[in-house]
Amino acid sequence: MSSFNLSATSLGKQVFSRRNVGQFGMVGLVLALLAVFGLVNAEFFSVFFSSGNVANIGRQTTLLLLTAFAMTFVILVGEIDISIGAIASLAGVLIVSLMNGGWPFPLAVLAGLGLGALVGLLNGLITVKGQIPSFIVTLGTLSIVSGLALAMTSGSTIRFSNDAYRDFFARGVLDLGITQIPAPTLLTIALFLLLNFLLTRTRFGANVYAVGGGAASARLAGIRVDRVKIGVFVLAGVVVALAAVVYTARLGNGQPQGMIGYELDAIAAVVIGGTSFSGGRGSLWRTVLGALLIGVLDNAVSLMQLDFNLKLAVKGATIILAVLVDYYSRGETRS
Amino acid sequence: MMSVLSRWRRPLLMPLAPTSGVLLGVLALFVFFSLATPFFFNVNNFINIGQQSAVLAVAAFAMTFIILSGEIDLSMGAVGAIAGVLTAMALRDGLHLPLAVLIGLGTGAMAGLLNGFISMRFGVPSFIVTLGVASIARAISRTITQNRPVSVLDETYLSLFSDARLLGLTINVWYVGLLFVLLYVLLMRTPFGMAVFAVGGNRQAAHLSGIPAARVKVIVFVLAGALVGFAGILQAARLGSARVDPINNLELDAIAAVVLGGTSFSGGRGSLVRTLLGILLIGILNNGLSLMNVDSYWQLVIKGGIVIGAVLLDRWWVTASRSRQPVQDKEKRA
Repeated sequence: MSSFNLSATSLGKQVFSRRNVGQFGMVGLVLALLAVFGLVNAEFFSVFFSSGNVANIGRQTTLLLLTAFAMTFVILVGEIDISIGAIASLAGVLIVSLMNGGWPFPLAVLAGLGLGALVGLLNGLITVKGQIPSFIVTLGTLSIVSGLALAMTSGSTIRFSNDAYRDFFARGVLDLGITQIPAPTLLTIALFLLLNFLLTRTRFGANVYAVGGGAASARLAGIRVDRVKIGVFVLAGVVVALAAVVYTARLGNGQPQGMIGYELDAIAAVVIGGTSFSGGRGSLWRTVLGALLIGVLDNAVSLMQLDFNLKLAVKGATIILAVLVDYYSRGETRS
Repeated sequence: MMSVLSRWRRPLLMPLAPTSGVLLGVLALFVFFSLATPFFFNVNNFINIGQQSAVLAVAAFAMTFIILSGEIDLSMGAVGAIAGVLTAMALRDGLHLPLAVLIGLGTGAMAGLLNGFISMRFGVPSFIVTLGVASIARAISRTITQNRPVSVLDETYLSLFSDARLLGLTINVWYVGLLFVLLYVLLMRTPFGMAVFAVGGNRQAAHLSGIPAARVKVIVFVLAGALVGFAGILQAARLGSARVDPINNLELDAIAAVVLGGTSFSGGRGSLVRTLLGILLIGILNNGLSLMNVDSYWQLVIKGGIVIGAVLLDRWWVTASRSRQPVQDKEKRA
């Protein structure tokens, strides 16, 4: 292929090559949408890029990022977990009621993380040992866990007042002079670095990719597939419990169904980022990208003062567009 | 080499054996609730169970086809809601009843076509596509209704899809029975039904033997969509108004009913009879627990536990019965 063919069609082909579309397609679509907003509303850009709004996007995306990190591991290993929203909700009300019962907050948080690990362990054990699709197992635990959270609180929101907890996990900032980083953002960045290290620099991470790419060959290569999968479910439980900590600290209360629905948003973020739904291919970086795309879109739609309905439609359309972009960049069909 | 006995025994007992787990569960719950509460064992209550389970039953039939063909549909609650809303709006604006019903069914079928087409044409997992379509359907029904339920005042509609009784049973139970027979014949006695099993069992093999796998699946999605549209119509009639938000947990309950029945989640193995038993199990459980005044929150816990327990039991049953089969069968599996 000559790289000096400068006819219009050839340039188009070069720009919109499968590789380029795959790597930059979604970002390009979002930028195009922002451009349209900017054309429609003259003041859009000055508001959108104001430092206050950028911080807003960060704040609004924290929970999505945390839950999506958990989902990334689960999807990479070739499984699915639709109970993470329920686990987070239960962990949240547990932490809040323990603090109300006089526990110091670090202990309450530890208990919450332990609960997440426990439910994750249950998910993993039943999936692996019972050889049952994780969708079904987590459908069951979703029901059990959200029933427990509702029963524990009699279905109502429980309030708490613990300034140390709220300062530490939500209201605190790290002052860098030029800008301030809110505590949840700091936590998210730290967790990203830690999880990314785990996924890309450790044997466990390599095993996650191997198992997701093909459990049978991973087993033949001597990887203890069962343990890797159980480990991933436990990790996911702990990470979403951490999301619950940020959630409760931010709101100052615990809601028995507060985080239900995050499982679907998290799946959307992972898939929009381009991680393969069938496992083995993808990365945490892509998930960050996917979650930020959703966050930016949500925020932009709000700034345009379009209503909640349109947000839903945009989210649905983005999911489908993202997988179409992925399809185009792969250049293949399933049949 | 199969003995004459096992050759004779297998076709006769095989369809029954894997269902006997859930059948046992249904019977056990039945006996338990009959003893535990005085309100359970009477004909009016049985009619109630049927009436309460009708919407779920129709959705679960649809889900059976979807899962048998190796796919999944997470848009049922949202699609059922929008079908109900559009039917109710059509009636409110003075359209004739048959036309309004057709609009509801057509909405469902269109959503199914969208699900099937995108997922087949572009090789995208149906899990993701239907998630996106659910979100879009929800947005549309919120927008067109301005987020307010649409009440249904048409007497004929209400009686035709909810209130009328025939031989003591409410009409929606009759629809479920009729649909069951029709769909059973479609699945078990037609080449299309065979194709559904084939594409779910092994898509590549189905493709190589000349079955247009993608087309079969798209048809399954359209059929399921129309059924879900009908479920939305029944739901709107039962409540007397079409609610805007997705029918509560419809797709998850439908999946639970199908899987409780013992239909394989990975496709290709299962039946409508099993789904019917799964629906019955959920229906009796809901009804009995409510009659016993079990807190609705604990009902969730119990239901979740039963889903996991039943599937574990079924898995154990299948492995145990496999190990009793001739060696050839095990080799085939590996």
